[in-house]
Amino acid sequence: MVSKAKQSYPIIIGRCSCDETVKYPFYWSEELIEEAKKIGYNVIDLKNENFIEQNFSKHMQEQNPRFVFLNGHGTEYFAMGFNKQPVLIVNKNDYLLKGKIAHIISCFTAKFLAQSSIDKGCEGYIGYNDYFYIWFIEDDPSKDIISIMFKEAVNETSKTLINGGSIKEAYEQSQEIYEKRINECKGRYFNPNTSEEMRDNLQDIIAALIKNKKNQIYLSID
Amino acid sequence: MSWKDKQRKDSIPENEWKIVEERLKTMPSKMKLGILSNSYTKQDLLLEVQKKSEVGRAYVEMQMEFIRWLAKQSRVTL
Repeated sequence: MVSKAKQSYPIIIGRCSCDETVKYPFYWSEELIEEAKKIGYNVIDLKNENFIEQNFSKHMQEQNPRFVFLNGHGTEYFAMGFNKQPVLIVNKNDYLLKGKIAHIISCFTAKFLAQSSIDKGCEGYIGYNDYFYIWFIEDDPSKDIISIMFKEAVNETSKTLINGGSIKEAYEQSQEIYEKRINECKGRYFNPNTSEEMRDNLQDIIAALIKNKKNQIYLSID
Repeated sequence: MSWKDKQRKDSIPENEWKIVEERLKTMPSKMKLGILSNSYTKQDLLLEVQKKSEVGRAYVEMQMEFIRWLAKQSRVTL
């Protein structure tokens, strides 16, 4: 585990709340930022209109962060920031991940962007190589009890990393949480007292958790 | 539609699209699915499945994953 002394490397967090889906990971990041600050990291929080390629590249070059946590939409070839503008792009600026550890919460980026980054010296990459699913019920993420099921596996990955865990440990921790949540839902799903409506909701939640667990991968040079 | 999307869409058999469509018709819910820069109610998802859109396909894939998982659970508990 890392000490609570001032950390020499900053952390870059990119996030935006520009649509109904990404505002959930945007909100989840608050908890991570709080923990990172407690540990002594300087957190560079690129949010909303600041989460664009130009700013991201500038901070990556000038601040030399150890960890890069991006939240937004994605394709196989790029991670997106504010208003779905590409921020981290295969063969354009993915070299900026050289010597760094990335955790990217988005659909698809772990397909090609992850490998391309590793090829250029990225130390480790955790992300999703297919869709990333979130179920929710409230418009306000802070009041939502369903999306919490998806938050823990995401946040624990980053928390494990900033607390000194390896990329493999962070991935395994996240996988364990997905499994734990699936099993919790399973208990309720098979409970004879569970209503039809609740069982239907649980089916959707379990299905999404299984897919996210399966779609999460890590690449590392360890 | 890219060749990749077409390939994926074609990989879901017709009966699996039907299974998911029928479930969506009978099971309303207040939950919304966040995927691909938008959010979808069950009503929206029904339309997406009927259109066989990318979101519809993602939802069918997710549901079929659940069905496979459920079948595995049953084998263990029986």
